[in-house]
Amino acid sequence: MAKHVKFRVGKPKARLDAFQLMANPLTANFLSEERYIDAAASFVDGYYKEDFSRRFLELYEKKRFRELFNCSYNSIEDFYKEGTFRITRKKRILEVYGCLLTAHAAEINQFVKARKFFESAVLEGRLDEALAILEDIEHHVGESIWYIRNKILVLSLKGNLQEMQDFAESCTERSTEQFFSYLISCCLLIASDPLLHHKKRILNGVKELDEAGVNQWSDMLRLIFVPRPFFDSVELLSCLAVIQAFNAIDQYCLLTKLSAEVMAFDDGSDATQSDFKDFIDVLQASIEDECLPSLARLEQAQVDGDSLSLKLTSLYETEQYEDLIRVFVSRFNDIEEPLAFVNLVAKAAAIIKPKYLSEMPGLIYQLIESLSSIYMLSVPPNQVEDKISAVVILLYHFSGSSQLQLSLYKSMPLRYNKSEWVRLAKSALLTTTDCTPLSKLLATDMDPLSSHKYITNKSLLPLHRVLRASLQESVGNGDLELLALQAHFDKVPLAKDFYESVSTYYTRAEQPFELIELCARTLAKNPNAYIAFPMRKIVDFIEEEAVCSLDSVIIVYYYVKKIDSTKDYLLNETYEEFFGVNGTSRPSELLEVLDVRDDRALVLFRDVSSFETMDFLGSFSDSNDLRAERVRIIDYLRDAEVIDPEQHRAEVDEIVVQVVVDAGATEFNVAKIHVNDNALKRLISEDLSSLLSLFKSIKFEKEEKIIRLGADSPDGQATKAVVAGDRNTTLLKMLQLIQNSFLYDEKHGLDKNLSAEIRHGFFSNLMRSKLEEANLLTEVDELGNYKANAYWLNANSLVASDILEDIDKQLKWFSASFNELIAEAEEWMNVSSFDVETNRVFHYRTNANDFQIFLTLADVSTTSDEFFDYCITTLWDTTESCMEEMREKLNVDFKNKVDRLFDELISRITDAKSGVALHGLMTSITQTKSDIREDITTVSEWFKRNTEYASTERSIKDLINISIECFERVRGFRLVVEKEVSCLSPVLIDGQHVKAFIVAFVNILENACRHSGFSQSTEIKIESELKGNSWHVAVSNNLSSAKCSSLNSERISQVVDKMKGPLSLNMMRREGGSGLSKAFNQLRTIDGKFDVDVAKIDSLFRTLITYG
Amino acid sequence: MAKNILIVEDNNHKREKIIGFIKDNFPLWSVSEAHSFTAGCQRVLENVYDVILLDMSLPTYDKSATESGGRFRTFGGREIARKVTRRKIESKILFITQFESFSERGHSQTLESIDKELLVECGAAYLGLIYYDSSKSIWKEKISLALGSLANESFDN
Repeated sequence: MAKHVKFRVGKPKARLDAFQLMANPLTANFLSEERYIDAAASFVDGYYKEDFSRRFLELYEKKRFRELFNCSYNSIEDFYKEGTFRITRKKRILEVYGCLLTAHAAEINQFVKARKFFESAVLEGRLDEALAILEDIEHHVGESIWYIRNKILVLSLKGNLQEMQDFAESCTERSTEQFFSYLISCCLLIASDPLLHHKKRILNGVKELDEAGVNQWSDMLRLIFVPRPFFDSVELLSCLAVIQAFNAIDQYCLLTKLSAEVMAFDDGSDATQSDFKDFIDVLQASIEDECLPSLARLEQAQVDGDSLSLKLTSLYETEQYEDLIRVFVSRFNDIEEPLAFVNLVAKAAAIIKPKYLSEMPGLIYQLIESLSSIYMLSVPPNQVEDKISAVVILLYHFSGSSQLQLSLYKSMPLRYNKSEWVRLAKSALLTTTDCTPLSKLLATDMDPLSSHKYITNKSLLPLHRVLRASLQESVGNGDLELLALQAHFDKVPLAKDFYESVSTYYTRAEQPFELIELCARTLAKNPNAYIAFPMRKIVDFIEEEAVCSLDSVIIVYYYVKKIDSTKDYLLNETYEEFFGVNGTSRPSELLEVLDVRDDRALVLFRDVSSFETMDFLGSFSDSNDLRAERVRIIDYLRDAEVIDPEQHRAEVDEIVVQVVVDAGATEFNVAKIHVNDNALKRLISEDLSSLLSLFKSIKFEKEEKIIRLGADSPDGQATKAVVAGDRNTTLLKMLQLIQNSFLYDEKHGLDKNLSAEIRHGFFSNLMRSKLEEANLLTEVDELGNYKANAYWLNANSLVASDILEDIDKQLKWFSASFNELIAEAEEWMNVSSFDVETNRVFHYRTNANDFQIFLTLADVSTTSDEFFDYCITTLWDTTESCMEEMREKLNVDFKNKVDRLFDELISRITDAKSGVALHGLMTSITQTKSDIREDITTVSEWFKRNTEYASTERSIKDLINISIECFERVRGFRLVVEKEVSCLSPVLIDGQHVKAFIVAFVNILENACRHSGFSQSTEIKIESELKGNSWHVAVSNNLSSAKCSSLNSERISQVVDKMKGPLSLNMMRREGGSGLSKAFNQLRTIDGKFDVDVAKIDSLFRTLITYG
Repeated sequence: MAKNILIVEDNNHKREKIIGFIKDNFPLWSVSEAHSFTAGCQRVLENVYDVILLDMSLPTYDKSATESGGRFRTFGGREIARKVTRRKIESKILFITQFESFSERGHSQTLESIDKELLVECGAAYLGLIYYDSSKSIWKEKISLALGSLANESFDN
């Protein structure tokens, strides 16, 4: 941010009158550039006489003086060419702006006139016309940020994305100022994806600048890009002085917007309001703009506007919706601010649903369609809110942007807080004369729903409006009015209006339980209706009073889901209490008690009783118990025909996959250390047996000794020793054979296990994963140098380049240091059996004492297996100590080293960023530092002995067993199954296909149980056969007599046709289909050689999987 | 005086260190353990403890060869504490965590801010939130302080 130091300050004690110095040609000509600027600065800030404005304008006519201000610079290359003057008094700054804009009134008037046409053209989708107007404006008044932003906008709306990008790039290239280049790039990003980039780029930029203490510039970004109150809190902006950086057109746009906000701000000091009012008065003297804010409009808020606005409102109130829309469309250009009437039109459109309106181009009709869907409660309001928010961001620089933002508040007054909309409504009212009665009401302290008044005579209003008005106006008990309205529910064209009226009445009448019941019943039918209820008030009441009914569970569920996810604790607790007061600990115990045809009960079981809510109950023994509960619930709902069978099937499939994935995750999370002892025993038994025979045959004829070398260690053992003698060397060979196979066998040894399962991949991947997610690591390029960290460089592009370079340097250092730490830890995870100094933790040395013990063991062992087992036990003892050491090293040494590395990084970045906040980066580093600790703990748990070794490759036999287990876990009951699949032990399936095979097989089992007529008691027989490269598995189940008789050959053909038909898996999901179709498709995804056939053999149904 | 304490902690290494420390310094105390949110919930509802020492983040279920632990609950310990408070169980509650900050749903919280919230939620039962760092001994001093005051208080009584 180079420019924030560009203030010009006058000399404190100028001996001559600054104005005279500059005004007098004789003295002015003798002033150096520096002294002239000093004089100008002294005059601008320190001239106290009342004729300041006149004097200023006099000087401004002089080229030399004029060129000290940015107002005249209307080409990109010259933006912010001149510095800004430091002016200490707010009133004086506004006086200066008043003078500057008055001096440029001619071009501003030209601009204002054209802007109205341009904005109308954009709103109505006449984009070629809009572009032509824009170029005309540029031709007459030059370039400005306003021009650049709008050209990018129109090109984006036209879909000319390449042209848009080229234009933006050419502007950036021409710009000589970093801040202006940044603004242009923001305009481009916002046009591309308003919501995303507003959050990622703009709000982050604002936050960074705020934290760096450069509030003037952060407020400038707010003023240009951030709609308030929608995306930011509304506070007085401090960017007034730096608006000098812009030219006259941009100054005009920014100052009028700022003035409206300040004038609408009640808490602002009277002096400030008065200064801004004076400023606007100055502008009004020379600039003709109906959008200039006027307090008179606010003061006359109850006076209705011209006849056209009255007409639109009246047409709406008297239900002449067709005419209302026709007048709005046909007289669009005559309406002072069309955005002020979009709610009326949208509501009319929601009622009569005219097709032509949705087909009309232009942002305003898209907006009307979105608002219509809010009134109809037909689309989740959050989605519509996002859609409208995107338009709000996109058109924030339009003169009607306050009305645009207000349209959202008008459509959902119960969704937002009054404090949010009052100032916005005032600001909107300051800049537009014509608006609806609701817009005016929102600008007051009155409740918009209970204080609403119609402008039409009551006798002309439709019945539902009269009834709703009566309910609002009812004094004391309004039950009669409520009953009257309820009786005419079907006469209210929009249900949202009904709910809003009744919920407002219940709130006013303090009838919380009636409100809760209506709310729960309504939400269970249509969750989008939450915007028609005062949800926050209701949930606060539920929390304070600990209301734990079915209704309260439903309401809190939707509140957490739609409004505030941080209240999930309340959902959990209300849910738990609800079952508690019903004397149950699990939802399924209430399945028979509650009527699942009641929408609320259905929501309770189908939606609320998810894994995430149920697991809080603490009444399930493990994940599979929880899953079985869920399957019990959805089975019941399917049987009761209240959920779609396909929805049921899809969820069960998903649960099966979870079980499979979870099994994999379990393997990943727990003990990984494995040596296949039995395989090793088989491999070396022949050699070991002959060596043991040799050992036993050697007589004590020759000298046997252990030759000690080197100094003795404190415990009396030699540090090194060699054996001599035939028996000793034979024993050593035996020990080496066993130890080498234990440690180094390529298939089953420890080193292979450490290497394949931990060192090469799992460890470094897991350690790096959180860092990579946070983009804190950079890669090494072909030359071995660390690449720049593009992510954080881009995310902080607003920061000065020298600071960024230094930060990048630190991130590279961190990447290198972290990789060194990983390498160091990986070195610990190696095996060492040599008598050398090493950092390796798995070190195996046989000392002289051990050797003596082995001698004895070899003597007493009768078989080689016996000796092998002794030795392996000793090796595992050593390995257990090594693993303990490894866990300790990871949990303490490694964790501390990683911690210190992060601390060092934080310290280095703190130095490098020179006071800039870099909030995102710092948060990422701190968060990752915490997250990685959990991963280190996970890794330390790997260093435990795994007695159930599982490779990624699985045999068909194993997979059939796993599938049965999965099925039983998911279903929560034991299968009656008889199986003979041993012959398929040698047939292996790649790890990548394991899941597909299990899903297929579970579906076959599911099909068998569902269609046998015996349900859980179905008797299943699984048989297999292997012939060369081909094999098959037959799954047979018994059939009830009814099922048996219905399964004729025609039905079997239908099943086969459906299973193998050309429909894709997705088509089947949509249109229904048996589990066999899924099984067939899953197996085909593994290999085209798979086939599935079904047949009825006697009274059995058989599914035959064949391969080859 | 002998007290009974429940330690709900899923990290074996950390749990062993804490239990070892408590056994060394409060030899009369009876120490029970739970390794997950669910196990912790079940223990506190079935038994009476003078002190419940909770890790802040916990898996839902005990991890085993066939159980990956279910959903990881960033504030699992806090959820247990809320259950204890709601059920008016009169155990003192002490938290211990090795995280310096917690992040859930994109919002991060510091230890200081959580400490304040826990004090409000647990009221008089709250003994504090201790930061566990295996390389330092400060956590031991803090546990000593928290449990020691409780033990002394009982002696006096």
